[in-house]
Amino acid sequence: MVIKNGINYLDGLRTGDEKIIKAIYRSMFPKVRHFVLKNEGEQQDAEEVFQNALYQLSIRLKLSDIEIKLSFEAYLFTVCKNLWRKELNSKKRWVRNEEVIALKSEENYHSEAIINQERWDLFEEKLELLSPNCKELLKDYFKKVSYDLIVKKFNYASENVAFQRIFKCKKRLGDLIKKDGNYEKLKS
Amino acid sequence: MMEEEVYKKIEAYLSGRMSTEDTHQFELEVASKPDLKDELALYKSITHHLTNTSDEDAAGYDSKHKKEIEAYIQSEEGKAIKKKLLKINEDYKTTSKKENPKRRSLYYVVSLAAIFVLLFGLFFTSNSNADLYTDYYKPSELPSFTSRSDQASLLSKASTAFKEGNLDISLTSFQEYNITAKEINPLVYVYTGLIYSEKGNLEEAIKQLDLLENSQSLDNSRALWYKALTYLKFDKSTNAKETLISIIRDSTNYKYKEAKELLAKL
Repeated sequence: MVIKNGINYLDGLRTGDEKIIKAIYRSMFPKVRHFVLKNEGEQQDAEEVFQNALYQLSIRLKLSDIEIKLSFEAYLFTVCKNLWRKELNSKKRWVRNEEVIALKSEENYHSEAIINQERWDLFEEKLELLSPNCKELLKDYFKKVSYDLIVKKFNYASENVAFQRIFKCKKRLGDLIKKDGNYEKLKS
Repeated sequence: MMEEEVYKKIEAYLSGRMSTEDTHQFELEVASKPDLKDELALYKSITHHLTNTSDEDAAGYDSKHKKEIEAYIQSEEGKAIKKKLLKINEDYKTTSKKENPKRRSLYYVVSLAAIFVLLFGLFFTSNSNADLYTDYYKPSELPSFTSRSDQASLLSKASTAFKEGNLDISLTSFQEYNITAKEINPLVYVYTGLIYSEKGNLEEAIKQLDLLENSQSLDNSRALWYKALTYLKFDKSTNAKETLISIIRDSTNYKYKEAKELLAKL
């Protein structure tokens, strides 16, 4: 589903087609800008995030391929959200003096961001392979829904059963990730 | 295969529910067992992924894959992509700026029409403007800067001083922020506008609010609301009404409902 209105965005990005990239700007930048401004950012932040996302996707497309399950727009939006989230996080850590910012080279910044996104894709892909029940359970668990509510919602006999089930789902997800040949090269 | 006991330990460790002693013990264990270390890293990543938080430790890779990406970035081809994207960004900015004034002029026509319709009401002012200002100006609704990042302390100092009535301290702090901040949060102009308004300087107050109105901020319609209030304070009914009319032109504007209500009272 990478083609919309007869335009193949991924191909356009891969070949660096100016017309198509401009079309990506027109159709997607306002949404990303809105997201960044709503989340403590400014116009310039939004521009940087969008630029970096397109740049990193271009590099990935040159070096290998990207398989997109949803629409290109939804995917690009996710990449932008991840970049901005990381940026905000490091700003906050910096304010709290938790880390001394070592000046990263530009290529280091981009390569880390690319690998983070590739890891994100891998995790998301494997999450989709779990049963709907497992997915729902893990999401609730990580939303910190209490065990007694999980027991009620999923009709488990006890909290211990819920715990066992969460354990199995998480383990299955972990196994699926480890089994994927790409995980090794994305490990830190 | 991971044993349930190990999983329980990892869970307790990641959620911070482990005692200091156990934590220390567990960290020693992790350091001596590469498998456990890998397992812990994976579970940490899964947690980050499912809680939508960024994985700060997933940095410092030194893999072949990373080197390959970096080599491409440094290549002429990689640099050319970057240059091209920068140019497209600049082009996009220029064209979207050009498109805006056109839309603006249409708004002006619409708002002029609205002004004519409402002009009839201009002569029947029953409430005193000062009363209306007091009714509608709510200090509790002023923007809060607590979540802003590096300049947070300066901004919160400035806004607190304003709320406590220390106008000069507040103004100095906002000015210091404006000079030192890398990017200015345009909502500061709500405060500087109100400070000048309090000091009796209508012209400068409106200038400050113009800065917010013309900014790219999604909150720029707040400027209109504070302008309307400022005009009321200075007993400039006509200006206040015109500003309120601009607010009700778009239902997504800040204080759209209140603007309608206030306009009816004027």
